[in-house]
This record gives sequence, C-alpha cells and structure tokens, in this order.
Amino acid sequence: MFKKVLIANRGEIAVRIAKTLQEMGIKVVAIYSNPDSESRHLLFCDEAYPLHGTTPAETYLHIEKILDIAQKANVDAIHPGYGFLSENPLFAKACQEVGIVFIGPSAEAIEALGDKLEAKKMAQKAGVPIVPEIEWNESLSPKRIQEKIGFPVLIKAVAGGGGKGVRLVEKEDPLLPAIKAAKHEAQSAFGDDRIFLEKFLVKPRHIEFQIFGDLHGNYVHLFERECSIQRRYQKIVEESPSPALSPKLRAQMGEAAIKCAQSAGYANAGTVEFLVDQSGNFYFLEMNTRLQVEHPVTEMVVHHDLVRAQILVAQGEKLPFHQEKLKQNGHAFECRIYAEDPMRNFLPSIGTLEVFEPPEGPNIRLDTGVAKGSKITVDYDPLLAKLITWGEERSQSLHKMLWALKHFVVLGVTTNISFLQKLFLHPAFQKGELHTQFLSQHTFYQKEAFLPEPEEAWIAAALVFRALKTKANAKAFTHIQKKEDPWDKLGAWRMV
Amino acid sequence: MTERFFLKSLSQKEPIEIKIEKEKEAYRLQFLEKFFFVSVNIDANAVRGSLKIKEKIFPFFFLKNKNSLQIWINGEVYHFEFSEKKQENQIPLAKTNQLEAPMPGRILKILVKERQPFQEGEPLVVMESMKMEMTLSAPYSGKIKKIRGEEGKLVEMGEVLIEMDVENA
Repeated sequence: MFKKVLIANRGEIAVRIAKTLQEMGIKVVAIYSNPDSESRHLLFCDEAYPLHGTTPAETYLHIEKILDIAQKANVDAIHPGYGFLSENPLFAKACQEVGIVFIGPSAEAIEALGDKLEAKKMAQKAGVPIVPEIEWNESLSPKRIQEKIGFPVLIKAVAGGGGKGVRLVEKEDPLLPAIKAAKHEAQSAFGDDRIFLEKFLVKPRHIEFQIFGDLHGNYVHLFERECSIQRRYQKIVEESPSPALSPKLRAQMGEAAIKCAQSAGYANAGTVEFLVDQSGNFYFLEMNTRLQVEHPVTEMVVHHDLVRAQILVAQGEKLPFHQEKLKQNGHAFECRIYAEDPMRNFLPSIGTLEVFEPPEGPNIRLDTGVAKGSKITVDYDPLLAKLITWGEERSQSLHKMLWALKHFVVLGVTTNISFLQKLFLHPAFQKGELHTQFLSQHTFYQKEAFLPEPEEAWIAAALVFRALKTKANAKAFTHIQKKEDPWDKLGAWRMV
Repeated sequence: MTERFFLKSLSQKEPIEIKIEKEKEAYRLQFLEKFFFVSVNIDANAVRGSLKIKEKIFPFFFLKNKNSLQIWINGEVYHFEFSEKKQENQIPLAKTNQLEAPMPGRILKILVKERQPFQEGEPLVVMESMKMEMTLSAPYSGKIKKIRGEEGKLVEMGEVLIEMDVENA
C-alpha cells in the first residue's frame, strides 16, 4: 500500500489527483516551478518542493530533479498526470531503477505505443483496422486503388512530413497526373520519390475508448468518449456516450480497444483512439498511454474514480471493475475552458483572473487549477478549467452545460466561454452531427461584427462608471460594502 | 441634477450620451433615445453588483481600468469606454428640424415659445411616461419654429412636439 505519492505535474490535473490520493489516506507530495510558487495545486498537498527553474525543461520535465525530490521525500510512487513526463519511457524506467512505482504502464509499453508506425502495425496484427493505405507502384491502376482502398484518397510521400507533397484526389481520372506531380515534388523535397495512398475520411468522428488493464492480465474497457470538436488538433469538447455509436458498433470497438491493450501487454489506464467514418467504419489512430484530460466524462458516466483505479492497479491489486458490471449511465459533457480568443484564431490570452466565479449546481463538476487572483502567463497551457455536466439524456446534459456556461464568470482574461455557448446552441451540434472538421465547416464564431450590447449591459456600465467616477464615491462603496454582501439584500434596493 | 457622460462599446464606436438622474431610491437613465428606471447595488470591493429593471434582476460583475470597463452580465462579457465629453473628431448627429416624443406619454411642460432661440442642451419639453419624468433637451442650438404639442396632452412615440431651425443652417 502506498503511503506517499509524488505528483509530477501541475495545474488542474495535479489538484484532481491529489484529491483522490488524500481521500485514500495517501500523503501527497507536490513539486513546483518558480512561476508556480503560489499555484493552487500546492494547496492540495502535504509537502511541496521547489524545482528551482522556470522553463518546463528545467522543471516538470527534469527527470533527475524530480527523482531527487521523490527520494528525499521518501515516496512510494509517482503519478505523472498527463503531458510533461507522462509518456516518457525513460522516466518510467528511471523510476523503476530507483525503486519507485510509476503509476502508469510499463516503460516498454509506453515506448512501443509511442511510435505511431509501430502502434499501427501492432493494431493490424491484433486484427484492428487502420486507415487503409497502399504504397504506389507501377503495377497499380486507378481501378485497383478504387477496389483496394476506395476514393477519395490522400497521396503522401513515404519520406514526407509536415504536409509537404500531400494531395487529395477525389476520383479515378485525375489520379495518375496527381501521382506524377506528387512523385516529382517528393523527389525534390525529400530526395525520395516513393509515395503511398491513404484513404481520405470525409468528416470523420474522433471516438476513443478508455481501457484499463491490471498486472494480472485482466482488461476492461470503460466505453467511449467522442472528441470530434477540435481546433488546431486539440480537443475542446468531449462527451460520452457518442451520439454516433449503436450498441453493436460500441461492442465491436470496445473489443478492438481491448485487443490493442492486450497485444501491447498494457497495464493501467490507457486510451485507444479511433476515427469513425460516416458509414460507421472505424480505424485505429493511436493509443495514449496516460490518463486523458477528458477522463471525467467517463467517470461521470460509469461512476468510477479512474485515478483511484490507477493507484490500486499500480499497487498490484486487481482491477476494481468487471466488464459485465460496467454500464453507461446517462450522458456527460466536458468543456475545456481556455484563456483564449476564439475570434482571433484561438490565440491565448494572458492576465490576472480578477473575477473567477464558476457555476455550481447538481451534476456540475469543475476541475481547475486556478482561482480568483491567479495569473495566467505564457509559461503553460491556457487551460483554466474543465467544466463537466451530467444528465439522464444528451439533451438534458447539454442544457445543463449551457446553463453552467452562462453562469461562469471570468474577468481579466478573454475566454472561450461565449464561443462554447454558441457551439452548444448550434443546431448541428445539438443534433450530434459531429466530425473533426466541424469548426472549419461551421464558422459561426468568426463573425467580425460585434452584436449590439443588450440594454442591461449599457445600464450596468453607466451606473458602474458613475459610481466609481470619483475617488470619494469609490471610497464610500468600500465603506458600505465591507459590512454586507449585496446578494443577501436583493430584496432591499438601496441607493449607492 | 442630471449627470451626463459618454460611453462607447465594441458595437457602438461612436460615443453614446448617457444621462442619469437620481430619484429617491433609484435612477432614471436615458440613452439612444430610450428611458429606463432602475435600481442598482454595487459592491466595489467584490467588483460585482445587481441591477433591477422593472421586475427583472440582473447580477453583474465588472472590471474597471481607468476609462475602460468590462462587464459580465447575462452570461456574456462586454467592453465599454468612458468619456466625460464627446470626442471632437466624431460625426455630428443628424440634425433633424423636429423634436419627437421618444416614448408614448404625457406632455407635462413646454418650456419654450415660438420664435424663441435656444442653446444646445437647453431643456425644451418635460414629459412623463410610466410615472417617469424626463426632460427633452435641444440636440443643437437654434430657433423654435412651431410648437405642435400641448401641455397635458397624451402623445404617441415619434409624434412631433416642436418644429425648429438649426442655427446658421
């Protein structure tokens, strides 16, 4: 049994992991960089150690420093969270070497699954479909391509990367000229004219399966999360169940996910990501060997604490759940609340959270690493919070999310809260017609013109300006307001 | 006493004149030719407050930095800029030669006579609507041409009360 665990992370995930550790009676050791010396995750630990540095490389990514602290603090295990060192096989190995348990899969599994080509081969071997692809050679013809993988296709350079030489071909006729051009471009860009064709999925969905394995060879899946709403290849809204899966398809994909985990000899929490096309065919994309950012939607639906399960499994215990007893209950959404400006291409926004008032209510969960007064800097990801809602049905959960977004107050930085409200009001989103290009297709949030402010905004602005116009006025407020909270006095309208 | 100042917003780039008059436990506001009777609670320390317009209550939060203000109200954040005076390089308001009733109501007082010259901002007519009294002031300097309204008479919104000439026009 673990007595003390170090969390090699920061922000909301460090807070979230600390809560479970503490409730299990395990002491929590936190680490922090210079900019994090007053961060919220330190309020949820039993001991905190400085990393003496600013950049990630000299702090949360610094294996030696972290292991030094772990040994000094005499911890039994390290939870890596997500990001930073969570998918670094060297770190997992280094922990093992000093006799500290890494709460996650083995270094070997992380290494094997971290190589995307290797992971695809492994999936194929396990009988899990991948996006069909074929290397081009002169014996092939457009007709053969149609038979083998089907149009539309993407032409990609074998030696390529960064989108260079990638061409989309919709049908048989233009294929040969496009191949000729692509080979020419590949030769001049990479010195290698080999190319391959990959089936192009039109408006695919991103659907992933949460899997769990223990050290005794048991595996379960905890159903899916749909994460099709993305910007810059980053997820912003997740939900479970997916509105697109039939019970039959769900069972097939769950089985495929478990096969992937088994063939990698995987233990602890992992996620198998799939693309699902519009006909319901699914293809293995990659496997993430960590706790995902969006794990709360699964927790809300299966009613299990995934961090607790991670700790139990890392202690060598059997999985705390059985496949046949796992059930999807109701529907959960998660919104990632970012300090960013959707109207300016989602550019991060920095500043101090002068006001931070999250919504509260039944079946509303908030995972956050910030509070009023927190400074949002360029040092880290601008994720302010994860807002999660649950309802019996999708529409109920959706309307709860709308309510929660409408009552989430943040001033001091620009956030995506208004954007998320518009998204949740969008008819295609409400109908569950999701795909990974949703935000490129529906550009409702890019409107240049500002909508007129409602009358109440003008009135509130006018009265605030009037009230704070003079120092004397402002002082008078301070004097009055120290005594009472205006919210307790909604009945008695007072002159101010 | 009426306080006046100007606000700009993201949608409204031209400064909008705001008039505020205190009345007992509440305020009378006038902007964009509309009138409101509101109560307000402001907690400057907690940077929040609440507004009551008729029977509707709006909690709000604000962040003020010199002359700019962010207001969170009704689930959205809005930006406003404050100024005491109208900026100089702005486009002048269209100078119509009619003073219209900005809302349905009763004419309480007509403060000017025909052929009388007046200065910009000078009160011309006092009206009453929904127990709110308001003063209609001259949008520019000029001279009264014809009085069309009558004290004590009920008028519709947009009804012409006074015809006038713009000075030097």
